[in-house]
Amino acid sequence: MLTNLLHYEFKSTGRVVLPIAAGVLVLNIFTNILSHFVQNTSDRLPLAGVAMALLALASAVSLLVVLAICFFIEIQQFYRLLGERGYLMLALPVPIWQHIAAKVICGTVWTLFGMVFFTLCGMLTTDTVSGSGFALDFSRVTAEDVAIWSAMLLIILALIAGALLHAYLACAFAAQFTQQRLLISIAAYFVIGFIGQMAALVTAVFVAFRGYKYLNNTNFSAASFFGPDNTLGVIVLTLLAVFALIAIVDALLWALTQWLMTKRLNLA
Amino acid sequence: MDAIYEVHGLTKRYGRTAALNGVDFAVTPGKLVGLLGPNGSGKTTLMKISAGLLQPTAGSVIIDKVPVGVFTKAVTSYLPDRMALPTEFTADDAVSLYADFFTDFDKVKANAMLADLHIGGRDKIDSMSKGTQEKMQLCLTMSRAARLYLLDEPLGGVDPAARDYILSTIMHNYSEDAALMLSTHLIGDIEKVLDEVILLQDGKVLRQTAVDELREETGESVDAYFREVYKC
Repeated sequence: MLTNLLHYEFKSTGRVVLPIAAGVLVLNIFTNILSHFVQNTSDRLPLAGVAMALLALASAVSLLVVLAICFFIEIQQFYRLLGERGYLMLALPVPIWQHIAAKVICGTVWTLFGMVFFTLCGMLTTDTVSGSGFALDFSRVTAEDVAIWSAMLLIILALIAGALLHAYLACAFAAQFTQQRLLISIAAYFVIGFIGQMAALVTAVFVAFRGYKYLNNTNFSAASFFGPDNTLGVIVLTLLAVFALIAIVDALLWALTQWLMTKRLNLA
Repeated sequence: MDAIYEVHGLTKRYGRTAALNGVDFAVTPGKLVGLLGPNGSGKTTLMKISAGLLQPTAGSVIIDKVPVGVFTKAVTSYLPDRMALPTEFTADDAVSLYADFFTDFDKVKANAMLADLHIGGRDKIDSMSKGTQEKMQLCLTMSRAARLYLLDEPLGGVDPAARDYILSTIMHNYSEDAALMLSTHLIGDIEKVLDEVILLQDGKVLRQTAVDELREETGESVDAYFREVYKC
């Protein structure tokens, strides 16, 4: 059922994201081609330079718009799930966790797509794309690089999922009310964020004060864990610890959202 | 015969207001039941709880001997009182969605019904008229071989010709071993097809009775009885 949900989720959102992304790609290619003709013509055609600058600005803004759409489209879908759309989707014989999973996976994939699209189009516009350059860069990649970048990718994925789950929880909380749901969602988003920051601050202070006397005498150097030459292990382990921490926060946000949708479901 | 649909002490409160207040009834298979009551009597709330879209404050709903959950959603075909199909979908997408999620969905039957309505597979839902969208949603709901059909206001907001179409669709497509409950205000249109009625008032069951018994007892139609009971 999760596969089916993902299929319809990507179908539904892809109809919005892909045409916009295609349009922005065309705009960026057009801007790039045009900029080659307009270069060094400011003496003869001063207005062309201004027009080119405006076009470049429009291209940059359009890239930001695609990035924003890629992130917000699944939040909009989740908000609609707890409204009119829920009358069909939540009547399907599918457990609530699968609905949340489909939204998180789809939202994370689109956001990642938006980031890659933003980077590639940005490189295209600034003429930093070069096939030979890429090949040269990849030939220098080591196993250590792969390990570190894999851990970094995990952290990025967990952060995107966390940002989405934060918004989903705000929507699920607002869905408890019969009116002013959008306004309550936005307010709840900031309140949840504030509570999260305060909880992190209190935990950090608690750990610092209570744990200081124990941690003070512990040798945290790389050598104490892995021997003198294993700094890679420390870096990867630190990154994985950060990932685990983010994953715990994500799990908490997920659990609260699932509880609200299971025990307190209240479609408008 | 064992009941396919049981409601026990069902209560739903919104703040201090009780939309449902200790509702109890049971429906056996093969019955076409009208859920009748004035606005605000709790019909839609009862349907939504039974479809698993709303959590009750107290009480329980049992469908096919199981409390409302993933299993009951698989055996219950629910038609909401509003358009719920994704409007960006085509008719084919909507049919595929039902076929993918409901094992009791008859794709051939659905396509035949949509063809009767002159709906093409590539027609986008948002380009259809409101009436056509509602009929399409009904066709998809009735294309399932469910154990229980819950139709919330299927006749609301459509013209008399469309009402006839909807009624005939309901009558021709629900299986005899299933139960069907529909809520409506338009009693005159459906009275002739109902086996039983459940009358709701202020979130409570005022009466559950067979339509023939009610007519014999009161000497009037269900429509006339409804007008008398709920007179303002």
